[in-house]
Amino acid sequence: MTGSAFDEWSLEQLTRRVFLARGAKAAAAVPAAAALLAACQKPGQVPTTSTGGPGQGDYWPEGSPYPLARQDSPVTWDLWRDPIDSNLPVEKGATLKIFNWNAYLFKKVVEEFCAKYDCKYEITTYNGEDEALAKMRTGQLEFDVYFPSPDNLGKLVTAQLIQPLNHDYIPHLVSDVWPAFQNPWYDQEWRYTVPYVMYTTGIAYRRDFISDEQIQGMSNPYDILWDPKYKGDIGIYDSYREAIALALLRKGITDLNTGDQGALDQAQSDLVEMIDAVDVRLDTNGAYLGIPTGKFKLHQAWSGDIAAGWWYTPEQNMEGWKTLGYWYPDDRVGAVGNDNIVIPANAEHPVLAHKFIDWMMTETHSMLNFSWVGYQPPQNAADPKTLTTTDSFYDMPYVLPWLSRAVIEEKDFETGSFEAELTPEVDAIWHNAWQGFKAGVS
Amino acid sequence: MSARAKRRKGRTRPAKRSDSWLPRWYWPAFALPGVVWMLGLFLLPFYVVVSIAFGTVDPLFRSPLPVFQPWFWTGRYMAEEWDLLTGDFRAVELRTLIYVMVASAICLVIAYTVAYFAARCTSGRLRVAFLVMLAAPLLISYLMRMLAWVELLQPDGYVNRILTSVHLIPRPIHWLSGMSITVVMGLVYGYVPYLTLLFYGFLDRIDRRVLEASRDLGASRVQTFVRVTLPLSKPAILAGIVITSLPMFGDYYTNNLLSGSPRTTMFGNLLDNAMGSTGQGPEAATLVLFLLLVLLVPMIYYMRSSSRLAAG
Repeated sequence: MTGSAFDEWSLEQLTRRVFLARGAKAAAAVPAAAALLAACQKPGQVPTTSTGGPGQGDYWPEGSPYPLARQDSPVTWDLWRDPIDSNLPVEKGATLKIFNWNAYLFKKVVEEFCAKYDCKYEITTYNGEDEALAKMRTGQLEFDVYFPSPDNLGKLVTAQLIQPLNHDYIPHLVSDVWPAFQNPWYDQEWRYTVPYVMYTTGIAYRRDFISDEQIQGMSNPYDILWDPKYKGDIGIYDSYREAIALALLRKGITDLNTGDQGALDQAQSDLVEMIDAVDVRLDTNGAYLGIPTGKFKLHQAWSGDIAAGWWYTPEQNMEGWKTLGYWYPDDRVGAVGNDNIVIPANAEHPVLAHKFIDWMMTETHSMLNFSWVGYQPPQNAADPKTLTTTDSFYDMPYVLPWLSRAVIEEKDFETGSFEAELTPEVDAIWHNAWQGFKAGVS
Repeated sequence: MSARAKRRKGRTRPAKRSDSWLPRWYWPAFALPGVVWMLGLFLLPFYVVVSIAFGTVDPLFRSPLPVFQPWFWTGRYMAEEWDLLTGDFRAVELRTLIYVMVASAICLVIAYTVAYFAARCTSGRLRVAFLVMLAAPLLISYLMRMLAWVELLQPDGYVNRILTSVHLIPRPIHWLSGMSITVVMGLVYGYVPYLTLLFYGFLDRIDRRVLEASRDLGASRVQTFVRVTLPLSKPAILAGIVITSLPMFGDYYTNNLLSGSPRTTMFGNLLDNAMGSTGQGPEAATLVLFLLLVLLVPMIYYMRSSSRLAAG
């Protein structure tokens, strides 16, 4: 029997069914082999990529898989794939899948969007960025829009979990949004993100106990959170970044991403000092709920929390609302931040998602959302001069006049400091300081 | 329990003889669901925890990355955490121990007294009413019960209003601003219903004839309690301590809701904090293993003493 004859014979025998069956076995064997190979390889190694890197930036610490963005060293993320084509038709009869923080989006705004584009919507909520990231990583939940903060952007782009935006669908970012956000430091040329809402971190207080003049007249108003006079009435956010940033700012340190061991040790002992001085308490709802209801007289606060605080005062009248106060430095040197909207890579309805993003960048819809959420969007229409006098959807000023310091201006993003992503080493120092504080060790 | 077990044993033996046609694996096979349960829901997850403690974190997302091959294990994170456990965290460990001991002791006294009353001094409808009352708190979730306390203990809440109106305290107390007593009270309140039911079931089953015999032989009521009832309820007390104190050691939400101050941080809070922090996965797993090791001591004591009690 010659070789060729044998080959012919064997090819004949290899019917389609046999071929399929063998193929299936081989397919099953490949992942098993991969798993075996993986077992021989040490886990947790940085994979060596041939494409170079996920983006360009000046600050690229050793060992980091991507450059870290800072206000003074912006990052341009590479396009790991092309954005969707322009002029595609909007998906018909779709369900827009939204992945967002709990209570961070006015449903009315979404309902109006869906009425126009004939879609349904579904909001899945999370209670923490880590939780959200973990869900995104599974790749099984095909969300159309997602609301991460800038410090998670590097991970999301490097792992190719979000897709670049096609600007043709989003004309309102250019027409309605502050110029500062058309080229943000964390995502130059807004390749992957649009800004959602912004906040400053200051101090909320009860004006029936502490007058505006009193706190504004202090040489260092942050000190009021250490004042034993208010023992038992003071709270801060249960967040290692915000709490340590507070202690740093009090000492005049404005680099809220510092890796300076001495500064962080000092911050830890300053925080520990709060335990005995004022019986400080840690929570997440102390500003928007605790201040209006009287649980606290003073609380570290995001501007949006206090702006929406009037919902929760027991007395729903001017007298009740006037109890709410907010302090942020005069020179506007303090903590600022914003959240973004992105489109996950595996979004089922990318065109609809682009349309939704444009919807949220449009003045009328964005301001309607502001009425309910309390967090200010970077809209040209959100004019700091008129926000305290213009009525929102609820016939109340967007920001109560005596809370004018909670209004954010475009230049706050130049004077204020961001809490950006830390290197693992610096993050470990921050965590140690935080754990020490939680254990009460100075 | 022990008498019952003996009776059951006595019954199975002749039955086995008549079932001798069954294959040898027949009776052992009944342990299979239990074994599968243990393997799938305890041993395997436990190995994952160990693999995380000795493992590393994902280089990109910094989420815990279990290393299942012991030859790649690293003690790096564990060594760091061990420094904390034997250093900065010692105050927290001591505090947790004290809180749990005090809360367990109070739980025991309250639960035993109530259960004793229900088992001995009630009958008929009163007993039914009592049992319903004992079980009622279990129908409401732990979290809801704690949230109810948050409202009651506010500076202008009912507790302060009542105490000030009867002039027990001159001005409202800040119960929720990090007071140990509030946290211990919360722990007691949270776990006492479980214990009461356990004690009731046990005390109700003590043979009345034993107590009558004690009285007939001249013992007073107090002597009967101290020398008969109390020794007989030793297994229940031991079980009760285990049932309440083990979850208390890992409890963090009681503290979060009723205090929120670093002054009352318990071990569970450290664990919760590490679990919720990016890149702290191996640290959290190390804390879990540490807690497990510490709790193993009373567990072994409990198992040994209960098996000794069962034996005779």
